[in-house]
Amino acid sequence: MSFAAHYFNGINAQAKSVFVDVTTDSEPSLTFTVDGEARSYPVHNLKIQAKLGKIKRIIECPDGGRIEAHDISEVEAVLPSKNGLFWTFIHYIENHLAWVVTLFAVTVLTGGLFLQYGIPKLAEYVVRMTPANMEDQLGEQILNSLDHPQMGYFSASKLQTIRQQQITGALNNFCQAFQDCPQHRLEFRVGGNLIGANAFALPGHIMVVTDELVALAKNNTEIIAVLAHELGHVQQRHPFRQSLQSLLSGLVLAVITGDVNSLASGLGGVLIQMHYSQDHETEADIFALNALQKACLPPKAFAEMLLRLQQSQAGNKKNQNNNPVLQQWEHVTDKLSKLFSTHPNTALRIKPFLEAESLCSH
Amino acid sequence: MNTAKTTPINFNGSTSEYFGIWIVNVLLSLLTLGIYSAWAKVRKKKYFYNNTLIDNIGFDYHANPIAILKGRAIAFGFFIAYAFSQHLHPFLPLVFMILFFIALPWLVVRASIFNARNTSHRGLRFNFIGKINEAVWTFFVMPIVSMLTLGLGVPFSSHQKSKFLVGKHTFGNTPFNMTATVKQFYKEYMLCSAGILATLLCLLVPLFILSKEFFPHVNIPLPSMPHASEKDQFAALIGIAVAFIYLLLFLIFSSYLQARIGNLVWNSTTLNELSFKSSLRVRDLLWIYISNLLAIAFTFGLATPWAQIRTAKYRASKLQLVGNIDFEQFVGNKKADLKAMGEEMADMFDVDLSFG
Repeated sequence: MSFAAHYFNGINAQAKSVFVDVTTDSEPSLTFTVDGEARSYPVHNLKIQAKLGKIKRIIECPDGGRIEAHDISEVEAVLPSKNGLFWTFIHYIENHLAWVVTLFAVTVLTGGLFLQYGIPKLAEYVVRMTPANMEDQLGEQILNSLDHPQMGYFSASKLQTIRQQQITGALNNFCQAFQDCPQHRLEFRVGGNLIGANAFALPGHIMVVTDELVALAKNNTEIIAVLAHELGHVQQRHPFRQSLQSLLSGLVLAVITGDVNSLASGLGGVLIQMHYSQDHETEADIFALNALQKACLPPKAFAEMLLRLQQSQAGNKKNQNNNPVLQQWEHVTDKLSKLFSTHPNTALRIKPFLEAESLCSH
Repeated sequence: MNTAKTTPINFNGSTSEYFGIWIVNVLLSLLTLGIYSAWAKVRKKKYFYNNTLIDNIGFDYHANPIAILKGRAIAFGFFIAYAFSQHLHPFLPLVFMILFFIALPWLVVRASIFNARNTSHRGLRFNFIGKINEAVWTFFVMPIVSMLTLGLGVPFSSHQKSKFLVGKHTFGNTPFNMTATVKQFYKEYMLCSAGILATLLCLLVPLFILSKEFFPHVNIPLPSMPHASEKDQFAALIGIAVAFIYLLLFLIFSSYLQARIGNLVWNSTTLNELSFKSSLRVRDLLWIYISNLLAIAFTFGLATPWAQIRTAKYRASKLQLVGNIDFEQFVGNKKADLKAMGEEMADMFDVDLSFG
């Protein structure tokens, strides 16, 4: 058996036309004569490059020589069958559209599963490994970016200092009334059109409450009730875990798209828009209910405030859109969001707060 | 001399064949969170190199994927550090940029050596023999000079760069030699600046007149800013127009320089008795780049393999070898020597630091 090939000796660039004999003795080898000199290489010493498109097949010799040929099936016939199985498989996929489609489906599925389940596990692990002062720094940075005059979402609170001190004092009193109150810092901001009446927990034990929420509350107890829920997030380090999750998902996307800069700039925005998982919300609710009961505050206040907040947010949306098409669209998305909402259905959520009995005897 | 023999360079890759290779590369890179991308790079390069033929013999790419992976891991680490450094201190990104600028000469030399030594033709490796001090002159001193002279030094800087990057490459032991003069570089850059100025005038004058005539009445609500005032929207529209003009000018500028400087450099480069004839055309490149961009954008990236193949085809078709292609004249080191030389660095430095 023999095949025609070009041989390069690796010392000069001249191509030599050769006929390569494939001997199939006990030890298969390639033999050919170049410039009157016979050369022989045992097959197991040769590096046979993987198949790629329709390019010439290349055999590299241990001494730097190189054999190029269109067809080396005779060499492949004497190779051990396991040789280069992976690359043979890759070459096969590359040339079969059905396999490409299958691979595409597998990629999308794995990617989805990873983002859904892998990232939260990873975030939990990182949260446990990160020292508290790093979390504090991150929280400070995020608050700064949210306060940014052009790019941020918040502006300075217009509440009177006395009113702010009143609320902070009420929160401190509330906190002293039960044991496992986490360390925290309360900040007041104007939410504006985009945020409206709302309260947030940020990494680093920071809680932000908007002037709009303070105005919406009928009394301090309602504000404390909402903050009790946020304290639940703070205690469980949910904000940090959640920001790590969006960070890690962002990292994965950055690897895919090669756009690393988007990561750093979008952090604050991502945090404001993020939703906690249902589990996290339920955990925070349970914490709030326990804390309110221990502090002898009516759990009902949380339910009432939540309902009012929801109404105000819904009203806000309607006011913004006068366009009938957009309103229709809102209607559809409202329905959809109820189906897929990460917030447990509000009626279900407030039920324990309405049913809870006061543990205090006044 | 005028009877000198010319040999074409052929590119034999096909879109249909490369599409499969490309998409498998993309998907496997995604599936492995980027790890396969190193192997993908080798496979892509091998496909393009082996399909670039001189007298029916192709080039080859020999990089070790692990070396590429290491390089990518380092680069990714630095990128992440850079992206997040601003959260720690607002000046840190600047520090990173300065460090990068200082390290650039070393990076260029390392990347050139890696790419050259891992490229072969007819069993002979290329090599890069540029020294770090020359790179400091070309990639550190020159940019500063260009800045201090408000851009007047750019053509000189570009000449020094070409001379360094082309002239310090060898095929086997045979060095390339580039003889283009600084004067020729200044001529091309001056023509290019004149062209850009003319294009700018052609675009800006009508835009200015149009904006005076029509824009005050136009009110297009931009989806991302529903509450923006009319003035803001006007500013945004102008911004978009400016961005488009900027992109267009950038494409014209880079096509012009790539074609004209590319031709200048190749046509004045010799390799022993061989010389080259490059006949790239500005309008061809501009058309290829614009249509590539549009095709890729409108197919969500699926046209990428088509774009890459046609660009490679065009570039190969415009480059010819002039002179007697007697390859006996080119001699290289035996593989044993090359290996020893490579292994010296392998432990610490065998890392692909090139871009792309």
